This record gives sequence, C-alpha cells and structure tokens, in this order.
Amino acid sequence: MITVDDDTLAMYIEESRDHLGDIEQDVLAIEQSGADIDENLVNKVFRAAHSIKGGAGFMGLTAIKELAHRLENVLGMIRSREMIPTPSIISTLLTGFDMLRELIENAKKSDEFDIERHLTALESLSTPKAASILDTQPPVEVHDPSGKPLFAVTKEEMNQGIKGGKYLYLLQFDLLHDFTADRTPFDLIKNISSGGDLLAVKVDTLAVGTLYDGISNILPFWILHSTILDSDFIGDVYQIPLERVYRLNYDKQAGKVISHFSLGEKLAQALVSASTLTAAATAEKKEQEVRQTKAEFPAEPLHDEAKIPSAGIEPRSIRTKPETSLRVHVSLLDNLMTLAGELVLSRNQLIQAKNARDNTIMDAVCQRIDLITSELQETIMLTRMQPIGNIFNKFPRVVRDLSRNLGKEVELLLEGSEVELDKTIIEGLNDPLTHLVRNSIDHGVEMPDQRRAAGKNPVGTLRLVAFHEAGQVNIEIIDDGAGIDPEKVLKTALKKGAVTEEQARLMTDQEKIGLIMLPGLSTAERVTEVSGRGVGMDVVKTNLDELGGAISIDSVKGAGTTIRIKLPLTLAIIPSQIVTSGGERFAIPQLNMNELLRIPAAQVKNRIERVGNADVVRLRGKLLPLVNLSDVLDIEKTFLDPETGARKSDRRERISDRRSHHSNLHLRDEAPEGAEEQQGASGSGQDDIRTDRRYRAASAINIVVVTTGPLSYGLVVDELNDAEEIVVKPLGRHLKQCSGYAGATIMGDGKVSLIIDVAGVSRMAQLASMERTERAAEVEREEASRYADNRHSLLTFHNTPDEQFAVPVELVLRIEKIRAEKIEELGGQRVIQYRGSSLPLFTISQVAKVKPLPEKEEYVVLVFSISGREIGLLAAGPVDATYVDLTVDMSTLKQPGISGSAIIDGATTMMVDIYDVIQILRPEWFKVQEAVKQSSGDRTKILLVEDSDFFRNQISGFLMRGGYQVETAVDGKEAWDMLSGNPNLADLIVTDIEMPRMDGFELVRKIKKDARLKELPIVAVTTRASDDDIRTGKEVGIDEYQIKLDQENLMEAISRAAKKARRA
Amino acid sequence: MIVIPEGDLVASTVPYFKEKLKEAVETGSKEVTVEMGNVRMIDSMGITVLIAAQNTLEKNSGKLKLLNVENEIYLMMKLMRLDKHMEIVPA
Repeated sequence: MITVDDDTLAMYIEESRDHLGDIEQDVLAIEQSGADIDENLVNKVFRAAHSIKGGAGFMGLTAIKELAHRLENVLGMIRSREMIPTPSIISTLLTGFDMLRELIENAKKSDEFDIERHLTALESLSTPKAASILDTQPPVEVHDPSGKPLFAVTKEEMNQGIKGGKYLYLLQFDLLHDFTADRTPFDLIKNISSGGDLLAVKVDTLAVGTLYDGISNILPFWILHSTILDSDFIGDVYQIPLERVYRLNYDKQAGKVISHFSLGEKLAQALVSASTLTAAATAEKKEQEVRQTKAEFPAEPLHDEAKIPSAGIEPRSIRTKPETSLRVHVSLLDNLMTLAGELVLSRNQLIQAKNARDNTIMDAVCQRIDLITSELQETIMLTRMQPIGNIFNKFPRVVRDLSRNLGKEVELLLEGSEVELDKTIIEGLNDPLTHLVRNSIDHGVEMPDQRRAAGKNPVGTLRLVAFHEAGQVNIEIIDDGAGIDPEKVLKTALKKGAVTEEQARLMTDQEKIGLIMLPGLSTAERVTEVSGRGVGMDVVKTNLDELGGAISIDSVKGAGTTIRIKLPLTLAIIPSQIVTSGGERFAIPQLNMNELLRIPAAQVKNRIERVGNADVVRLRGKLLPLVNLSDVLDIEKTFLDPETGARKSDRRERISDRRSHHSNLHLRDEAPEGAEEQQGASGSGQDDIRTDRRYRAASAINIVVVTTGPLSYGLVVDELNDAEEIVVKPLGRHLKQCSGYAGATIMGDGKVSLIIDVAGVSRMAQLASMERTERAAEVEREEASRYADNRHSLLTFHNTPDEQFAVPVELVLRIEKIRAEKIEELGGQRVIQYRGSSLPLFTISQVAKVKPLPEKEEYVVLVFSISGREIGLLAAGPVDATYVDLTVDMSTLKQPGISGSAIIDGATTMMVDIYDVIQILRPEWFKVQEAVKQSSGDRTKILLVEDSDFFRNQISGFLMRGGYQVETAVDGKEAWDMLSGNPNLADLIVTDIEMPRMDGFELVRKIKKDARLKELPIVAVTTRASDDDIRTGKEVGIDEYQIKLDQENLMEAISRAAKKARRA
Repeated sequence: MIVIPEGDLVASTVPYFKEKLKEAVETGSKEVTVEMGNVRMIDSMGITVLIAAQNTLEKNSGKLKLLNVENEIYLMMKLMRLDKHMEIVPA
C-alpha cells in the first residue's frame, strides 16, 4: 500500500533510475573481472540495490523491497568473496535488475507483478554462510582531499558508521567564517550529533600558521560524520556549501576509505589512503575503459543455464520510456540565466527606444537582441544535447546476451560515446541501432568454427563508432563478419518481385545490397529469436528518416559490413525551403530536399510526361514521379499574374498540360488529354485565352525534388521562396490526423506555415513506390540503359551549313565569336590576338578532306588546350551543345582528324579528333611524349575498361599514340574474365567507374583481392567526381583518380602509374 | 611566562592579545601559560590565535598551557581535539 504523496514517489523513482543507470555496465564489468573482484564496483552496485531497497521500505513498495533485498544479498556474497561471479550468476543478476527496473517504472502497480521466479532464482544463489569475522585490525586512516591525514578511526567505528544504509561524510568547516555568536562551533557539534554519529573532529591547526604569519584566513575544521541524511539535505541541514561536503567511500572488507568526492563538484577526487594508490590507478584505468568500453564475452554452452531457474536469456524489450526530466549542468543553467537577464535588459532598452522613437538606439538594440537570441538558442540547444553513450552503453549487454544465446563470440568496441546529439534523436535512435546491432551479430558475425575455417579470429569484432562530420553526426556499425552477399539479396528480391530481371542486370553490387532496405526482405536463412521478427531494415530506414537521418550499407562478402548513419544534430530548428502553393506558404525540410527544378514553359513539353495516369518529369535520364502539392492538400492552384501582381487561379488540370507550339486556337486539338476543350467548355471567352498564362514565361513549373526513404519524387508548387531556418512547433491535437504535415512554424511576419511531411504527402498521393513505379521503372530503365552506356555531351558546329562536326564538350576550353578582320595571317599561319597573346587558328579542312570554311564576316573559335598550349579551331555557327545517345561509326567517314561519324539530331555528324588534328598540324607539340615512348623500352601493356564505344576509342587512340600497348574490355565483367584468365595480360589498368554488369569499384576490389593481380596500378577515368566517389575509389585501391576527360592529366597519371608498374 | 587576558578572547581583543603572546614567546621561554580565568567567551579568532601560539612554540619544542578554562569552553576545545595539541586545565 502506498501511503506517500506522488511528489515523493516521483522523486524516489527518479533517484532509483539514477541508481540503475549504470548498473548494467557495472554488472558486466564485474563479470569480466571474475574472481578478481573489484570491490569498488561491487560496492557501487550493492549500494544501488541497497538505496532502492531503503526507499522502497519507506514507500511501502513491498515487491521492489523484496527484489532489491535479494539482489543485495547476492552482491553482498560476491563482495565478501563467498561467491565468484560466473556468467550464469551474472545473468540472474541482470535479469533481476531488469525486473527491478520494470517494477520501478511501474512503481504504483509494482506489487501486482509476479516476481516469484526472480526471487527464487536469486535465493538459490545466496545460501547463507557464516558472517565474516571482524578482528582487531589497525585503525582506518581518513585523509583530506589533498591527501593529508586527518583522523585515525577504528574499524569498528567505521563499520558502525555505514551500518543501516548510513553515509559517511567528511565536512569541512571553517572556524573563522562559518561561525557567528549565534552559531558557535559548539552549536554545530550539537546539531551534528543529533543528526547522526559524530565519528571524529579535527581542527587543522597547522593550517593556521604561527604568530608571525599574521592572522590566517582559514581554520579548517574537519568533521567525520555518519548519517542517514541524503546528500541532497546535508548542505541545508548543516549550512555548509556542498563543495566542502565529501562523501566517503568506505570499504568495510578492506578496511579503508577508497575514495571521496565533493558533492558540489561531483568529481572523483584524488584518493585518500596511501595504501590505495593502486586503487587510484585502477580507477583511472577504468575511466579510460568507459571511454572505449571493451567487453569480451566468452561463449558459454546454453545448457549450463538450465541449472539455475530463470537465468536464461529472455527476449527483453529494450524500448525505454521517453524520459520526462533531464539533468542539466548547473553552469549551463547559470549561463541561461545570464542570457535571460541580458534579454530583459535589452527589452527595457527596446521599450525606451520605442518611446523615444530613436532609431539609432533602436538599431543598436535590435542588434543586441539578435545576438542574445542566437546565443540563447545555442545554449538552450546545449541543454538538450546528450552523449550518444547513453544508448551505446546498452549494447555491451545486448551483445553479451545475444552472442551467448547464439553461441558466438563477439568483442564489442565503442568509440566516440561522448559525441552529443539532441535528446529526441538519441531516443529515436535506440530502436534502429538495436536492430542493426542485432543484425550484425545474428547475420553478420559467423559461428566460431566458421570463422576459424575462414582464417579469421574466432572472436568477431563489432565496432560502434560515432563522430562529428560537417555539422552532422555519423554513426558506424562495423562488423568483421560474413558480409552481405549481393546475389543472395538480389535472389530474394527477385523472388519477392521487388525488382525485375532487367533491373537486376544493370545493378551494381552496392545497389543490390541496398535492396535489403525494401520492405519484406530478410536474408536470414532461418528466423531466429533475435532477428527475423518481421521488423526489417525498411523499418530501420523509416525510423531514421523520421529523425532526418540517412543510412548506407557497404559490405564486402567474407570481410564484413559497415553501416553508416548520418544524423542531424538537432530537430528543433531545421533549415527549410519555403514554398508557396495556393497562396499559402509551406516549409519543406532541407534534409528531405535534393534539388530545386524550374522547368521553363518552353521545355514543359519535353520534360514532363504522363506515364499511366501520373505525371513524371525527366531528370538526367531518370523519370521522377510528380505530385502537385495543391492537389494533395486540395487547395486552389494559383499563380501571380506577372502584369498586375495579383494572385489568380491556375486552371491547369495536369502538370503535363502545356501550351501548344502556336498560341493559336485552331491547333487546340494538338494539346493532349483534351485540357483545352475543357477550358473552352467552361465558357471562358477568347480574350481570356489570349491572356492565359500558359502562353507566358510565368507558366514555368517549379518542382522541389524530395526524397523519403527509397522514394524520390517531385513536389510541384506554385512558387519557390527563400531558404530559412525554421523553429518546429508541434501541431495541435486536432490536427494530428493530418498526415501531410510534420508540424508548424511561425514565419518572420508572424504568420503560421505548415511543415510538409514529405513521406506523408507521398502516402496521400498514393505514391507507393512499388506499384506506382512499375511502369515508370520500365521507361526509366530504357532511359537509364541508354544513358549509362553512351550518352555524351557534344558540341556541334559547322564549316558549311550541310556539314556538321562535333567534339566532346569536355575538351573545349572556351567558345569565342570573332570578326573576320581580326584574323591576321603571318608566315602562313593564321592567328588572332587573344588575351594578350597570339592564338594560332586552324580549320578542319587543313587536315581532313572536308568542305573549306567559306569567307564570312564573323567566325566562331573553339579554344582547346593541348600540351599546355592553346589553339583555336575556326568554324561557323550555329554552335550547339547537345547531350545525346551516341553510336559512333568508326569506319565509314574515318580520315585524318576525323575519328568517325554519328547521327546527331537527324544529321550525319563528323566527330573531330582534336588530338589527331594537332598531331598532324603541330607534331612538335608531342615531342615530349614521343621521348617517353622511346625511353620506355619494351612497351607498357594497358588494359582499358570502358563501356562507352566513343570514349574507349578516344582513350585507346591516344594511349597507343602515347606508345602504350592497349587491350580493351567493354565492362568490369569482361575485364575480370580476361585478367583472371591471363594475369600477365596488362601492367596497368585504366578503368571507367560506371559500367553495366560490374562497375569499376567492384572490378578493383576483385583485383585487389587476387594475389596475382593486386600489385597492378589502377587509374580510374570517370565522370563521377564527388568526394564520396573519390574516397570510395581510394578505399578500394585506385591509384589515380581522373575526371573525364583531360588527356594531358590522364597521360601524366598513366605515365606515373606505368613507372610504378615497372618498379613492381 | 604567563599571559593573563582580562576579559573575553574575541575579534576585538585578539590583536592585542596576539602581541602579548608574541612578547611572551620572544622571551625565549619554552612554556607559555595563559590564565583563562577571566575568559567567559572565546570566538574563532580567539581559538586561532591560541593555536598560532601553540604552532609557534612547537617549532622550538615548546608548549602552550591553558589554565582555569571555563567548563563550556573546555568541552568545546576537547571536542575539537585541541587538548591533543596543548595542555588544557579546566577550572
């Protein structure tokens, strides 16, 4: 029966939570030290159980009292070395403490729980034995924090002092300042004697000095006090600042004071007795270990546990209740208080300035308030920050239980536990992280025999690493297990129909592994107790998405898996894109946003299409489903009339509705989907149509490309506004069922804007990725396959209107228009003055048999940079940049300076080989390279792996001219087959990264794993130039990373690599 | 040497008392006695100065002796374990 008020109970629960906070780690640490008991640690746990018991007795919580009592008994035996903490005893203790925690969380109903099982299990461990005998032993020395001896107290006295849950305090008064006529030291001593036992008193007379030292400031007055008073009260009762109250940690068994700490600073102080110097060393070591907790768990046969009732591991819910209170460092609060004070001052100033209508003061005040607000924001944010160790620390237990259960051996390494994250994120991370860790142990780490057979350490390693990077927190879960087999994932995905065969063919290993994030895919061969409970990676991903996080998986079969999670530091204030739809402003979190897209009216026709009954946009070879925000939210679409600035209703039914080429009503039927008829029927007059904005530039479509989980889509909005940092306010209860919103925020003008929940909107639009993209995926695949293979950026130009030429855009430095009279002819060479020097000019017709450039008033000059020198190609316009699917015919029109031909925009186009042209015109420019060719003696053999015919020919062409012997392969797979068949095929590999069947990274990984090939230098030539790609490249072992296509740099890189190859 | 304070040993009287103690110590005498019969009250300053005198004497292996100490003061000094440092004789 509970007889106390709720406040007291709440305090008790709070305190008990604190006590239980570190219990798990401590118990595990006790297990680790085995027979070599760390008394300090056992004591700590013992005391926790003891305090909980004491409180429960006071509160009338019988069940909690009983359970805590039994736990205390067992711990007492461990402490007195009557019992060695074996793993099974530890398991019983752990489950006991779990139960205790649950009881405390449900304190009011705790007596209704059935804890009999735990009680008997604990009881059977602690068969009472003879109590330890107290013999006559030397007195216990008590020292002050600086190590000066203060008292010698008998052991008996000390033991009495800690009897019955009493605490030992060392109080430091100052005879000179703490006392007045109303409060003499004598009063204090009387006071203390009534509050508990006064064990010893000492005036540190030596601190006073002599008659010649002047009157000293402090006369330390030490009191050793034993009391049941909690540390919270001691300061008030004895009127002493907590900095001068030290709680002693007395070890009854060893008969010495192990440590004491000031309650004010809560810092473990230097230790007391000289004989405990070693203990100090241990404590220090322990602290280091906490930073990088290293726990190794021996696998124990499961049947051992049958002997002890309930010691087995039961599936345990790790879900914790969100905490309702938070501990904040006092200095932080002080800081906040100061800032609040500043704010009040500024407000007063503001009011004054307003009354005085003084703008200069007003400006200053505004600046001040701005400053204070930012600082206040940062400080308050700090109060929400919690170390990720709060979750990490659960894992030693999880890993221990799991690995024992599965008969595996796993070593857990925690790094970066001190990294801080917002409280909300920390709480939300719990489940996904637990799932990932479970996965790693269950599916990742192999059984000890398997590991031994694979030549690995039978003890697997699991690392949890947290670190800051670029304003985000990264968490990595790294195991050295079996890794994920991409083919296996793919097979499951195919079986479940999540991907099609064609899709699969084009997938890289990375993408295949990524499939496990799709709902319903689990690669576990059997459903174990641990994983495979129907909660898959998709849930993890969804959870992380909610936190604004991103997850990526990197796995090497046989070597392990690395899972990376990127998280924002906080969720309370987020950078957002503000958009307008239907005259209302909405905020879209930038975390969900990939890019902004504005499709000009003229391109709507080409870029936006209907697939099935949905609109899609073409974006770099992919089809992106579109969702109109106004439709989803059922608000009126609007646009701003560019002439009047008034907001008008937008009548377009579908995004793909567009104007026809001519703003002419007769051509109406050309418009698709009959949109215009509808409009006509609505009775709008012809005038209306003429002013219809579909004929104006204003009819451009604004798209926010967003990502949620596996799905990306385009959100069509009326207007794109600014990017702003917004403060997230939760929605009221009455709006909770609106799944399209994640919250609300208040804008600078005081109006409320809703925050779009990108995932919710996709659900509302029924943008289920599977069914919806079925058809889109098909179209996309066609696009993508062409795109991946042979799409190139080309620059087309002419000599005469009927002969079109093209060069790769990458090679062109600049395009200039020049007037004919600027061209000078000197010594048979045409030049122009260009940027302070003479730029030599040439025409294609100088080299190739093409029609000569007709005399014109104005020419176009394409400036190239070759061998560090610039040269201009004289041509006629129009110059056009196209991005085309290219099939180059390498034979029909081939001639000097022309590498082949292709059809571009319906015209046969000659591909200019600019290097060939220069070689013919200016052979001396290549002398240097020639020299290399001769010096290299026997020619270096290069294997060129490139899926694009065009680039393959280009690169192999200049490699051969550079004096190398070149073999080619069309993708990673072919290259690998060639190499594994003949390891001496090449001295050096030049490879593209993006290729079908097997990409460049994968090829390099394979090469590096093959003992015969791993020394081969590798040069990558790719358009993928992101930092991530370059890093991945370095990781897999690429020596030189070259961006397509700079011949100079590439040749240099190759010659560097070739030198390396020869040395090897 | 004997020093006899005429009244209470409190903050106001301590500086003078201190000078007298110094004089007593400087005579070279190993043992300095304070006749406490007139002292009804002693504050922290008073205690400090007595301890300082003891510390000074101790350096020359001397000793401070308090005579005729009023009961309550005696009990307090005992509680403070000052009797371990100097000889205290109650009234």
